[in-house]
Amino acid sequence: MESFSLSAVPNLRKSRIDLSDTGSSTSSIRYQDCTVNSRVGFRGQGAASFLTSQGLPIPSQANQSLLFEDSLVVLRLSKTEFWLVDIENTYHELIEKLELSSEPLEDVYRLFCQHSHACFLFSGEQTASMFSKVCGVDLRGDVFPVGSIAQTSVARVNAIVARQEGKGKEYYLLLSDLASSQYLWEALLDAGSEFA
Amino acid sequence: MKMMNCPLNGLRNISEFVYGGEVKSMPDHVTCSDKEWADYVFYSENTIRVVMEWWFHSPSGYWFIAERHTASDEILNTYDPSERFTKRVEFDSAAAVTEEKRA
Repeated sequence: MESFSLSAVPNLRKSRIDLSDTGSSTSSIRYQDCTVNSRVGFRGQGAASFLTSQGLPIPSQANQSLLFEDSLVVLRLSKTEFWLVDIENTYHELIEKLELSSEPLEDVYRLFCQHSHACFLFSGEQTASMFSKVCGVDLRGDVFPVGSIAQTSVARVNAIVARQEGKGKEYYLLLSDLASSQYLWEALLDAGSEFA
Repeated sequence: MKMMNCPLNGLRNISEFVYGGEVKSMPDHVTCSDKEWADYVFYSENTIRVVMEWWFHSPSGYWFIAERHTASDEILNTYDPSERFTKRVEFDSAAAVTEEKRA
């Protein structure tokens, strides 16, 4: 099979989400759409050693994440699956390089999370309260510390929720199916609107 | 809501899971008869007992095995499939086409 780069032409990526009503919200929760930011996933028996050999830190357990430098979140979703999410869109070159160098490896498989998932970022003290309206897993700070990941259902859509902090700011990262992203965005805006 | 303990993600609402059929030992696909293979693929026992079943945690795309009592619907145990399946099954060798014996 001919190989292709998932990281190609990042400048042509478009988010399908209509962000126009974000401004009218009085919520204290900050909503950010990071869907066009670069990300890549790797799965396979060799994924952990591949990332380590590239100088990246990896969480020791499944459903944990950690921060590389300032704004690259390394998520470990299972024993053999890792996603790298670029929060500020500054690590594109590294992500592209990783993707290309994984190609010849037999026990490392690239994952298509760039084009299959939407990526949102939420910050603000009331974010956990907003999630408690739409998600069955308790995401409050005392039981869901920084570095935790929950793969669960949010507003009836499958989602990966990770809590991280960088540059002194805590945030919740949400990755979910791209096809339902407009619905989820509106549902979460609606859920957060009461938290002024 | 009913809850299920996912070996990867912990206790979750049952609505996050999808049933994947009974866990049965696979007959050797090269030597078994078509009837044995059809039995394996299409039929299950459906009796009252503790059954071993495949379940899928949809948000994380994770398959695991659960032991469930078919009458009480109580889930007694869940675990990673690596506890039962330790080696990869290869389907490279094609099964010889044989005439099925008529009863």
